[in-house]
Amino acid sequence: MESLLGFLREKKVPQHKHSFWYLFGGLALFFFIVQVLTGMLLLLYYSPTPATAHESVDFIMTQVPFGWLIRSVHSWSANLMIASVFIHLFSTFLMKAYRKPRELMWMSGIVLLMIVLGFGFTGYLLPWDTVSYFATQIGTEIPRSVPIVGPFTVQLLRGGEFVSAESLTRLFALHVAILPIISLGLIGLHLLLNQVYGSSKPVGIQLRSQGIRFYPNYIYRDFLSWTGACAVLMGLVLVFPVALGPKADPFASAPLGIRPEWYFLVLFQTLRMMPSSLAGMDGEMLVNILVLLVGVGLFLVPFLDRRASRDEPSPAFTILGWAGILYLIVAITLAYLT
Amino acid sequence: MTDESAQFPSRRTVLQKVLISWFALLLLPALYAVLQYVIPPKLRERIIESILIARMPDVPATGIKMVKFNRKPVLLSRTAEGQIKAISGVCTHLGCIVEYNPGQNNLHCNCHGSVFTLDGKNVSGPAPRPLEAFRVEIKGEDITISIIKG
Amino acid sequence: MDTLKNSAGFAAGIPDGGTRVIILVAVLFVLSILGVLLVARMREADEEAKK
Repeated sequence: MESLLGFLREKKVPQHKHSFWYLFGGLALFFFIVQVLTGMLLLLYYSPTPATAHESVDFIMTQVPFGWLIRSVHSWSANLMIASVFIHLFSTFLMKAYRKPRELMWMSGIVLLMIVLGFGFTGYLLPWDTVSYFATQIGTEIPRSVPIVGPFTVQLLRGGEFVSAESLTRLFALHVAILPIISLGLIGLHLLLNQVYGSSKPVGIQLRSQGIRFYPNYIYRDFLSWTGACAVLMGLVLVFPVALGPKADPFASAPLGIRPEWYFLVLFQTLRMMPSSLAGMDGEMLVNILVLLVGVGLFLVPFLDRRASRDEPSPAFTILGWAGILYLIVAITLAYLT
Repeated sequence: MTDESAQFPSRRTVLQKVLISWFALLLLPALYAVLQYVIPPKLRERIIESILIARMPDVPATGIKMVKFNRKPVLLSRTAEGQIKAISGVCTHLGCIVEYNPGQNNLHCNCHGSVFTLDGKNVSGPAPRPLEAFRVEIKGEDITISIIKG
Repeated sequence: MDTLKNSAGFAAGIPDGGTRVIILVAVLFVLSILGVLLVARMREADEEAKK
C-alpha cells in the first residue's frame, strides 16, 4: 500500500487552462466501476432466454426491493460512461495527447471506445422488449453489405440467421464475460501507461505551475468530479427512471419511430442520409467502408499526425477534431428532429 | 523510502478523518439497498399456516400421497387404524427429500441412508430428529393440514 | 419464476414522483456535504504541498 502510494506520488498532473478535461478519463472509470457493481447485482436475477429474459427484468423491477433503482442506475451510468468516453476522446484528440510517447495509450483507448460501444450494443437486447429486439435486428444487419465477410459477420453476431434465443445467449456472453475480461486488461494497461508517462501537456501551452502530484493532491479533484458525477447520475435515475417496454414479439411488425441509443445515432443518421447508390457503389457498403476508415484512422492518428509527434502544432488535426464534434452534434440533432 | 515518509507524514489530519467518516456513513444507505436487493424475494412470501390440501379418497390405504405445502413436499398416509397422518418429506439430516419404500412400508432417504416410519419417526441412519409433523383436521371428506407451532 | 405474467404498466415497480424527489433531495444533500469536505481537504493538501 505504501509503495503504491509512493508510486502514485511520482506522477505529476500538468496544470494549465485546459486541465479540466483531464477529469473525464477518471469519470469514465468511475462509471465503469458503477457498471461492474450494478451489473453483478442484476446478474443475480436476470435469466437470458427469450422465455424468461423479459419476465426476469420485470421481476427485478416489480418484486425485488430497489430493483428499479439498480436497473436505472445501470442504464443511466452506461449512457454517462459512453458520454465521458466521447468527451475524453475528443479532448485527448484536440490536445494531441496521442503524440509520442503515448501512442500505445491512445490505441488502447480507441479499442476501449469500441468495447464500450460493444457493451452498449450487447446490453441493449438483454431486456428482450420490443424496441431493443428490433434495434438489435437492425444493428446486426448493418455489416451484411460488406463483401465476402458481411453475411458471415451477421450470422456470427446473431448465432444464426435471425435474432433469436441464440443471439440472446451470445450477446449475453459478450456483455457479462467476454467484453468485461478484455476491458479489465485494457483498462489496466491504459492506467499503467498513464502512470508511467503521466498526462500529456498540450503543444505550446503555458504551464501554470510545475504540475501537482497525483497523490495526495490531484486525487481529490478526481474524487470531487466523481461526487458531482454521482449527483448527476442519481438525478437522472430519480427524475427519469428507466421503464420496461412490452415483451418482444419476433413475428410482429417493427414499431413506429424505432431508434437506437443516442451513441449509435450518428451511424443511424449517416445510413439514412446516404443515397442508395453513389458512384456505382451500394450506399450501405459505403457507410461500412466509411466506418472502417474512421476506425482505422482514429487508431493510427499518432502515426498520421507527423507534426504533433515533433511537438509542433498541427492545425489540420485540430480542424479534423472540431469537424468530428460538429458532425456528431448535427447528426444526432437531425436524427432526433426527423 | 525513509526520506519520502518523513517528507509526507502518514499522520491523518482531522479533516481527512471527518471526510472518511462521512463517506463511510454515506455508504450505509447504499449498503442497505444492496442488502435488501440481495435477499431472495421468495423468502418474503407469506408462509401459509393452514390449507385444505387433499380429500380422503386421495390417500391410499397403504403407501403415501405426496402433496405440496409451502413449496415443500408433505406426505399423507393412513395408520393401521385408518387415521390420516401428515409429515414433511424433507429429511431432518441435510434436507434431501425422502422416498417411500413399498417393500418395507417405510421412508428411506437416499442421500445418507436415514430410515423413517410412515409417521415420521427416525429409525436408523444419521437423521437426528423425526420428520416434521403437521396437524391434520378432517371435515367430511376434506383434509386440512396446518403448521404445529412451538 | 412465479410471476410469469407481465406487469400492466411499463413503469410498474418504480416509486411515485414525490417519493423519488424526496430521495433525490436527500442524496444531493449528503453528496454536497461530501463535496464541501473534499474541497476543504483538497485545499489543505495543496497548502501542505506548497510548504
